[in-house]
Amino acid sequence: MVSSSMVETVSDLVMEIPCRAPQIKLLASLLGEDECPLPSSIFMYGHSGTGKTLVTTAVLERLGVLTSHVNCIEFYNSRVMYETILNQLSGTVPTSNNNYSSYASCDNLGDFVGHIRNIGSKTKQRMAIVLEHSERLRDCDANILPVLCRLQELTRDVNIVVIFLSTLPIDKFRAATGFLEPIVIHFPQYSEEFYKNYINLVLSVFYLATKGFPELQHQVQLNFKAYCEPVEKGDAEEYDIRRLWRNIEPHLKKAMSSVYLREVSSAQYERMQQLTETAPQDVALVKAGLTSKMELPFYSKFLLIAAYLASYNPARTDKRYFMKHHGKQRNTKAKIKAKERSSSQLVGPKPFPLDRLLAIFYSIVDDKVTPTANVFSQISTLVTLRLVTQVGGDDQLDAPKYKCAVPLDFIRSVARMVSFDIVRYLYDYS
Amino acid sequence: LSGNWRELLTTTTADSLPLVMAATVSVSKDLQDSIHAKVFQDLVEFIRDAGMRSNIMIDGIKSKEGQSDIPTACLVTGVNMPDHDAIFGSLVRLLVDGVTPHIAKLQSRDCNTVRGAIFKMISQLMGQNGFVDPEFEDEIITGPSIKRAQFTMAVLTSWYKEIISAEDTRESTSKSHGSPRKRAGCSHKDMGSPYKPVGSPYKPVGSPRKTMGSPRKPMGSPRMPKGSPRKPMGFQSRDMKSVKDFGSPEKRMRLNDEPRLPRGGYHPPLVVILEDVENFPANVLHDLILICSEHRCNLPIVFVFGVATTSNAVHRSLSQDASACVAMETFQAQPSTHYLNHVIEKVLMTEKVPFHIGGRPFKLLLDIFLYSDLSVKNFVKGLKLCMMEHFLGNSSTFLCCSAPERALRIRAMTPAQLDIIRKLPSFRSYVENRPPKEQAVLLLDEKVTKSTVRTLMTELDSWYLRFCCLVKVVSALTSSLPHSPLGRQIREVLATCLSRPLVESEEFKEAQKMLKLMAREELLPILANILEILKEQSGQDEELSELYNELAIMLGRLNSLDQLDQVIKDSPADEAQLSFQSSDRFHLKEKLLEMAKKKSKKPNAYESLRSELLQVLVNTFEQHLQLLNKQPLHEVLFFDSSSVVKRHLVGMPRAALTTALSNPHHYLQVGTPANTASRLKLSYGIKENFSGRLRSKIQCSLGEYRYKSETVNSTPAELKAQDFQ
Repeated sequence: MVSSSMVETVSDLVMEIPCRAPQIKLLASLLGEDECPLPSSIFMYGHSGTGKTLVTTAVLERLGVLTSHVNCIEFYNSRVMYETILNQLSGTVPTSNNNYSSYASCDNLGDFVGHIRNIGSKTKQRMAIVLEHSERLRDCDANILPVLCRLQELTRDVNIVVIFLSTLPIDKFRAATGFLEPIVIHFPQYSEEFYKNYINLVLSVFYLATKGFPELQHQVQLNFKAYCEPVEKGDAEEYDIRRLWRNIEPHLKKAMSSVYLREVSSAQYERMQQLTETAPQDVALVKAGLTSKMELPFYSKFLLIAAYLASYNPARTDKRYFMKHHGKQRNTKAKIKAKERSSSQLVGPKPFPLDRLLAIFYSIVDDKVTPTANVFSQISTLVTLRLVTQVGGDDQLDAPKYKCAVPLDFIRSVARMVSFDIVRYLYDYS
Repeated sequence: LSGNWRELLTTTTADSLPLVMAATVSVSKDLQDSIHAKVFQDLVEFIRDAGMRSNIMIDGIKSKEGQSDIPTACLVTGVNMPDHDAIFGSLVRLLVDGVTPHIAKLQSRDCNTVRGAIFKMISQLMGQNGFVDPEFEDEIITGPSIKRAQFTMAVLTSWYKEIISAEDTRESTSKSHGSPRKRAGCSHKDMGSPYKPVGSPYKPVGSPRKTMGSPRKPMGSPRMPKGSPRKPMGFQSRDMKSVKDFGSPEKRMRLNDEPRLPRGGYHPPLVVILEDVENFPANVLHDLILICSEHRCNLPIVFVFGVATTSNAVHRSLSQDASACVAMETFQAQPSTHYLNHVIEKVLMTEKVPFHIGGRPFKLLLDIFLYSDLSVKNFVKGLKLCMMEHFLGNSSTFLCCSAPERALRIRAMTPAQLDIIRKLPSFRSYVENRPPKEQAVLLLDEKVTKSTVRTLMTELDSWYLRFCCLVKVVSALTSSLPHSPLGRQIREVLATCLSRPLVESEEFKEAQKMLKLMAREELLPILANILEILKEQSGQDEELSELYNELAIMLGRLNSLDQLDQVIKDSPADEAQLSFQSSDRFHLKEKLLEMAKKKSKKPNAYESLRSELLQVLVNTFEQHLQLLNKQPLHEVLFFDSSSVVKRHLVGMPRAALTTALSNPHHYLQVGTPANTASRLKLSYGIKENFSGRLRSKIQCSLGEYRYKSETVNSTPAELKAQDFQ
């Protein structure tokens, strides 16, 4: 039986949240009205930014269910989770009056279930626990997930539902014991028809790069002003899509380069746009300055170069590159073939021991370097800057091993700064 | 100074050393603030704006834009790790003064787990160990006493709500009292702190430990009684409503018109500073950002990332969904080389600090800076070490102080001190160059010696001033040359000039060659620049003002060359000679060569003027840019021995290893002879019995031991170094 008020609520929501009608209807019918018994657990999944949270909170609010909405990322231990949920359900707000204490101290599942039962018997209301990012629950204690799935069963007479929100499908959650299959609702990607002209354009540009709704929203807002410009000036009709596209295209292209990074907040982005209009060269400089300027101490540069060489050259070729009298190199067929087979630029950096790094370092620095503690400490600085990474565990018998973590372009610019011809030393290129 | 060392210092040295050091430190600190002033100003502005924006959001109007974006300032600080602490220290000071008292400064070493990071963040934000001005030390915002387990975001949220509602009630009551808060809020852009003058609005109202009558409260803005500190109901309902009609254009308009003072006053943002983002474990950073963005609708959190490399590094270590949550704006701090140049100019090239540094230690310090760490902090530390060595190792340094003080000290010199001065090598050679009559007097008569010392010291001072000024002149002259043989920076020229006489150096000769070929258009701005430099100093020094006048005249002549040039150009109308009769190529060549020679023989007016100018400059350089050890009494003011400081500044594990093995006594100074002998035996035993890898491991640990013992507290000088830091 579906009452008329229920139908009204649902149709309201469908109007308010476009493109999610089936999900809203399904969820509403599952939850039912006033005194209906709730399902024990519901599982909703879909890509991020597909409206899971929005739909859930809106439906729960309209139906008047007492809701505890929590984000599982926050729970670095299970105690925090229990206490937060209990606080929200019981309406306890930690304030200075109660010295920021919570509803009850609770650090195991047994207590948790008991407290829930208490609250339920007091409030007599339907309750829901919404767990966002619930994929994180898999990393917690093994029994949490099954217990949450069966929370209604365990608390007996409490009318409670646990709603899991996740970006992963249910298959990734199934546990070995005691897992009760929840009701699954899938949120598919928004389809493109939803967007009209402008949105359509922006979408076609950015859709390849990102599908997250907040991201797209950001871009849409960012460029809307530029899009409207010709209409305001009277250059173009509102429906003249082609002309508008021509106007917006360069803007979008520029934005595309930073869509992943969100490097520019909207304010800075607009400022940069203005600068472009006044002096194009300046902006290029500013941009270069923002992204690629990095000043390293002199020896650090050489250490980095040495690390790069050690990562990308096979150890057996060191003799050829770094010794004065290395004998004559003969190009046999086998060697050429071996070289063709292994392009280390494709394979990625290989680990190397500290000794080799230092040996290469001392041989590529022009003037004589005394092996001081400063040189060694620079290696650790490079590691903290993530330009070089340490590989292997703690148990290292011979010496620590490292890997170089910078790309070729970067190392080339570093080498250019110290006027060192790195390509000549690279096995792949010589 | 610690007790031990006060005894060891002679009284006269004792008060000048701390003075000199304090001067150095204060100068470098001021410089630090002024150099980063621009970027700090931008940052503070950014954080304030971000706070505003989030206020609007929290106050109810949920603008669509950036619901979960955390405004993030990415401060690119450069790879000079040791300096970062100081940079962020001054940033925090600025923020506390002008923007918000709620600041958490996280370092990666405290944040290995999400739990630890959250705990640190929340406890600092809630004022458990907050940053408070020392002035109000007794009023430290201690915040409520909470158990460690209770530090959750929910607690933080409700704590913040209490604070702002407490402020709101205060606001509404104080408005009728002439509203000191509002005025402060309006003018917070130019005047420092909108918070200080109105007392401590941040103390949680109901906190049981707080006394009601705060002495800092300037006017009787009555606080709400304990029972009802908040008015959450109105707040929440407003929130609810505005979700539904967030489109309401009027509301937005109003807020846009008056962005500085949104309704309900300005609530300070919560600033979270991550000092070394690269060093944070990726998962911790990721979770931290997601958690904060989740609570963004209740808490105006602003991140400040300290990035050593480039802002790309942040994104590289974050996943897509986390980096989508931060709206980043990049701020570039000044590179530390820039800072160093200022330090050198303000500390080393001035008469305000009586201590000066010689060529070799200066080169050493520069090398450590450029080759190893780019850290100004370490540079200043090295400089301090030089000062200590200078003042402690050299008994004649009692005269190394400011000029008026020195006059007093010279007058009060004891015979023993006079002897010290007389024994200085530079003074001796000075005496030897005097006529024999004077020699005896100088060595025997106390009065004459004293007056001579006085004049010599004044001369030395003015010589050094002239020296520094000329160094700047040389730098201005040569920095724009191709390949810049003398270096582009003043510090490089200074290093060259301090270590050898400039005119004789190879680099200068090369530069001179290029200067001789310089075009007039290039030379004119350089000359103007030089005149500018000389003008600053010319008032104090006669020789420099002479040089200034001479150069000014030359500049005038150079400017008036235009008319002259045309006159000269007219005369060589040798075109007629170019009528080549013979078609022989050999003859033609010969002829052309001849013509070329002829041409070069008579330089035009500009060329002669240029060489004249260069000659004047070179003569001046030759006269004044001499080595400092030619100056009498240079030992008093100059520290010129790099080997002593080098031992402390540059650790050399391998050399230490050899020393440790050949002479363990050198490091194991403590213990009875028997003890030492047994250790000696032990180390030889190690050498004999173990082989290969194991042995080298043991040697390494021995080297480490030495390194530690040397850096911690083996020599007196180092003990002192620690005292002064």
